[in-house]
Amino acid sequence: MSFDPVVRLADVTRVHGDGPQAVHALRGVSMEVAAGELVAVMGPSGSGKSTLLNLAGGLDRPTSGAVTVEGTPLTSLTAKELAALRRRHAGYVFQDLNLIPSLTAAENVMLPRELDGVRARQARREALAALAEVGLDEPDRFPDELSGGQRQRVAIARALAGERRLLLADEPTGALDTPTGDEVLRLLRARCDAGAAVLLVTHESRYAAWADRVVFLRDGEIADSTDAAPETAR
Amino acid sequence: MAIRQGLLALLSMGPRYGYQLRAEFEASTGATWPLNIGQVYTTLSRLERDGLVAPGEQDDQGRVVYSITEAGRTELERWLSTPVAPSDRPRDELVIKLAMAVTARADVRPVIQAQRTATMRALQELVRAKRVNGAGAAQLLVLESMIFRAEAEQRWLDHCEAVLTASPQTQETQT
Amino acid sequence: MSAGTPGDLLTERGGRPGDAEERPPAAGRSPLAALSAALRISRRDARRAKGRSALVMVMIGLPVLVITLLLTLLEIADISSREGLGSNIGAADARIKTTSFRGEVYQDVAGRLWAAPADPVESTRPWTASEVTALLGAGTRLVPANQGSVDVRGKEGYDHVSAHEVDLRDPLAAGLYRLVEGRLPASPQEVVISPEMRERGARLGATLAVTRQDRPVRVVGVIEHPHELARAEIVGFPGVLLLDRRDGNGTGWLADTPQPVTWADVRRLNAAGLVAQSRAVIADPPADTAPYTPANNANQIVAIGLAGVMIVLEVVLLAGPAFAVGLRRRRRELALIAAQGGSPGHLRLVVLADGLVLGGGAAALGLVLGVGLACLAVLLEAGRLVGRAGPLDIPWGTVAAVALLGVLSGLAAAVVPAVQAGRQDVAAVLGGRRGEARDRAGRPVLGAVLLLAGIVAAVFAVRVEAVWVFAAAVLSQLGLIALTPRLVRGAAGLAARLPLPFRLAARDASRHRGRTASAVAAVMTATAAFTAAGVAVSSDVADRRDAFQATIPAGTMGVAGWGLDDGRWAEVAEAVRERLPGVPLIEAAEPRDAEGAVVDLHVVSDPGAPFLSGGEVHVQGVSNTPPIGDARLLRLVQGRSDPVAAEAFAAGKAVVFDPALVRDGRLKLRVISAEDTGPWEITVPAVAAAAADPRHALVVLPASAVESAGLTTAPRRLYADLAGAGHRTDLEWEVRFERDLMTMGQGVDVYLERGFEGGDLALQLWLLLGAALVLVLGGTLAATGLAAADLRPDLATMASVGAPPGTRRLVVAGQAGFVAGLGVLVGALAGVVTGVGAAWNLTLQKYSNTAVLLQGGGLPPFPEGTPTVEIPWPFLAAVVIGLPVLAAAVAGAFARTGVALTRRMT
Repeated sequence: MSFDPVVRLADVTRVHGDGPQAVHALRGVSMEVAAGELVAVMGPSGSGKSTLLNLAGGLDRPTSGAVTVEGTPLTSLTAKELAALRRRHAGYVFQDLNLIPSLTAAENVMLPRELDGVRARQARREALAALAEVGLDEPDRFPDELSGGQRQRVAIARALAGERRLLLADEPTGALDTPTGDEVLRLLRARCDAGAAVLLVTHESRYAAWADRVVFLRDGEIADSTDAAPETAR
Repeated sequence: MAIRQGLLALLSMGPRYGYQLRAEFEASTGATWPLNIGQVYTTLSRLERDGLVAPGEQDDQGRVVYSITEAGRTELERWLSTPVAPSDRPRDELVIKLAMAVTARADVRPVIQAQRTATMRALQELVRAKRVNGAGAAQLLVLESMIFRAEAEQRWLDHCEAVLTASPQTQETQT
Repeated sequence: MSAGTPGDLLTERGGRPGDAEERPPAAGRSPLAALSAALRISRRDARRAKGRSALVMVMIGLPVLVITLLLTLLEIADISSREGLGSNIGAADARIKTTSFRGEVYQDVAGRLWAAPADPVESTRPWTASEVTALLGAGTRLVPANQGSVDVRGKEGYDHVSAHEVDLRDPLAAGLYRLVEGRLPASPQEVVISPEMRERGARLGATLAVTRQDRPVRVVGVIEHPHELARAEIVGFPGVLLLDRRDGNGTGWLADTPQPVTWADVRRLNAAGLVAQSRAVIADPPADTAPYTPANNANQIVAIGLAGVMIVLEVVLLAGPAFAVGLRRRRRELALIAAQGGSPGHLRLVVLADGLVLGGGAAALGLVLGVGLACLAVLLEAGRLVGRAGPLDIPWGTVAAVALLGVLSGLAAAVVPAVQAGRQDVAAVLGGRRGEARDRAGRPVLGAVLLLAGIVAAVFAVRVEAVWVFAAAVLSQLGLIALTPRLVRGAAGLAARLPLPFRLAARDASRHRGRTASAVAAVMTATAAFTAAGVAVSSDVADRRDAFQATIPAGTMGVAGWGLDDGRWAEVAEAVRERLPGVPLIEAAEPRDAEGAVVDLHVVSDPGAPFLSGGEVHVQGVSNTPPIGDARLLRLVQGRSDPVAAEAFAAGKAVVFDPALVRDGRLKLRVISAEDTGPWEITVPAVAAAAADPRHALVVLPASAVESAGLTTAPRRLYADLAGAGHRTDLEWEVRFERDLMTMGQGVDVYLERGFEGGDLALQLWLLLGAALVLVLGGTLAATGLAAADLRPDLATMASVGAPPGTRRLVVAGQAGFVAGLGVLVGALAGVVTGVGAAWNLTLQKYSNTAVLLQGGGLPPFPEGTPTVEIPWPFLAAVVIGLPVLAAAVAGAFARTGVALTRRMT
């Protein structure tokens, strides 16, 4: 199989601030994630992992370089268009407090679809299906009634609700114990094998090892990268 | 050293033939600790000498069933309840390699990076084994042990890198 | 996850994100889906943050409730023509009323008001029933129904009460009254009375003497007017109660017509000089009628508009901090929504939905409770307390407008946080950094411009009307609100030298400027409004106090018998003597013209005298006529014995207590006569003297002086120094005394000089202070309560480094003091300036110039002279010092200082 990557970063640089206080979060990073591929980004704190993830989903804009999601260059998009892009093509999962506490699991999953103008009834139907796929059978519970692992499941279901297939995960296992963390990775891996492209930021190698490819980031640059494992090699 | 107690542990579930012991040992440790049959019989004879196991009658195919003795059970319990001392572990070549590299003022970073990538590959293999294999609990435990160890090694490598790049003597190698 | 396999994904790849906006609306899409999601979040959040929601709901709901209740009660108490139909015309088709004219008259739709043309055709003979029947058409049945008033003989004279002559047994009279007790009159010798009459001593079965002829009638029943519950009234047969049967004196008929009486019929009746209240016309008023359209009062509209703006402004400012704090708590939540694809517009929508949910909920609750309470009031017949009871009548249009205003307040309060929400740095918030878009320092330029514009407008408004001054002040106030963040920052900078707790409080207040500025602005606005009102009211009262002039000293009672004959006056004097045993009475004279007709004498001051631009001097008193009498009277009015004045007085000179009124040794008086002879001026010789209290003495005239000017006098006045005689009076005694004497005949008048009554200035100031207290304390405590939640980690840190609870208490108190102090100080300053502006207009510009301005009469000139300005210092001190201290004390006292180990949430 050979097709365009779902997300591509080309020579991306991100500088926070300017003048003498300027911080180079990323320096000329290029990478891509194809459909069905799980790429892990590792690196010490401050190495630019989260910045990379924010750029990949259009939450942040690069100082130079280009980010392309599903063939669309993000450079020229307005804030509104970037938001629409996230609703339709990219989903985020964060370490913790991913869910809106005042909405039930199902309603959390519905949210991006509803913001996109999908009627509540249809959005709920999709949400229930998505939750079933991640193995959550209590869709009407509130986040604080769910365990940490269950919450991450809901977040993953939400990130991929609708027609999205780019999942951007920022330390999704950070607040979990290792068995639950493994569960989350198993789920991500399964979504990946079903065709999603997953970009995973983590500082724990045990989770990074689930990836097809591990990219080591250091001082805003890619220091090293494991090749794609033989079985998923193109 | 642990082969003795491993065999005792298997025998504590009931009498076994030598080849049976080898198969079960490998299954439990996830084939990460290969054992040849000679080692099994050598160990068994030592256990027999120490009175921890007792051989049964030889059958018509020349196979002997071994069973655990009371002294053997005591020894097994003592082993299980005794923590493993760090000094009991074998020396780590990697540690020695890095230490020597630092001492010799060689550029450590390529060493670290190469090692890290290698360890990550090993880790990926381990995870893949964990993922694919419908293995039993004991085998998973052994896999996890190796994952955690590899993870620890990764963290140690990260640490080394951070410390060494921060120290002035390696500063020039960074650029 | 509808996309299952990579294959599915591949087929979906035709749709690119860039052209996603143009994607045709698929089935199941709705433009309102995002709004409904936002509303769901707001609803749930409102339920989760119960305290904050309740606070906002009270702030918005309470005004809605109070205003709704007031409007509904007013509407219930107000009996419209249609509601009053039954009590006016009973079951008849119309009530026909005579006028004193036989030519065309003009009436309003309801037949309540009418007017005659400039040269009316006077009536010569009373209308007969057959004449009226002819106008209304054959088949009309008329029942005489006359309204007026009648004297009823009481224990101590005559009581004057309403009278209605109609045969209540007639079916047409059904609905005019409710029979409460007894039965209806069946003969001319029988009457029924209202409950109020019974209160005054009439009994069922007893005989009353009515009219001055003391005609005996028997009370056979008690009836109640449907709406006017407190009215004293007698109803009897025609010809029993009302003596004057001339047209235009209340005579009329209830008419039962074959066809409804149309507006055209009414106009026909009008053409003949009759006025009609027609059921058909009132129930369904024609469009093209009414010579009387109530003139819309521009000042009133401006005043109502101002009140509305101020209430909404205050509500918005009070609720502002709650929304600001809510936003801070929800930053991460909003960032998450952004990460899931919420655009800045969506984030604003979510925050605005908060305003909609809370504002809508509060408005709905306020409306339901307000209307409900009004219904309850009707059910419990609370109208009896005020003597008026109308049917339940809810002004839905107005009430809905009030509720809508409530919703708008909620939305408006959420606007600023919503804009901030749309601006926040999502990546920073998600990364755990402060992603708060930095609070702008308000809009200093806009604020300064508005402030200046308001001041300039106020200078012009002084020429027109006080209400416009307040309108201009609202403009300045908006400017100040825009400047508030700047003020907060400046004030916090000054706090650098304060002790730690206060420094910390000020810094924290300045750091969370969004929340603090709103609370400060709320306090400032409330303070400005109430201080301005306080200064304006005080100055107005001071102005009236300075201009106060009475003819007799305080505590003196005057009884007059206008135009009575000697015998009647003797009776009156005797009655006064009886009721005031032991009080010396001083008899004085009333002036009459040469023919013996009573005239009024007005003291005239020349231009330049210390009274309004010359002319008649208006004084308090039994009339404008100064006391005319002997030396005893002079002594009484002057308040001390003055041999020099007494000597001049004895020589026939008027004693004048204001030297400015004496010109060339003479005092000018204007003679005003009821006859057609017209006013003319006379002068009398006069001397100036000093009175004990110049404001309670103007002039005392010797009878000889009046007589030598061509007038005559007759003793028709009595003056009694009640205070000097130690005679204690209370209101009940006064009312009885007055009624007793007044029923002795027309022309008897009683007047008790009480001195200048600043009215209820103190009460008004207390009310203003109370209102300021509620709003200042409310605004401050709401803000500090909300701030306390933010402050808790800091307090925990302080506790962990060993700060005692007292210090932590002081921090909270310091915050309250900061908010209240800054707001009150700036507000009071603005308020005093506004109040002075209003006083300028109130005390110098006696007439409203709004109409002049609106009709294009150009800008009126700036009022000349020095305005009376009185600053109510104790009130101001209580506001500026008392309120912040109280707010700080309350906040400190109720501060929770228990250490909660809080996890800092990033």
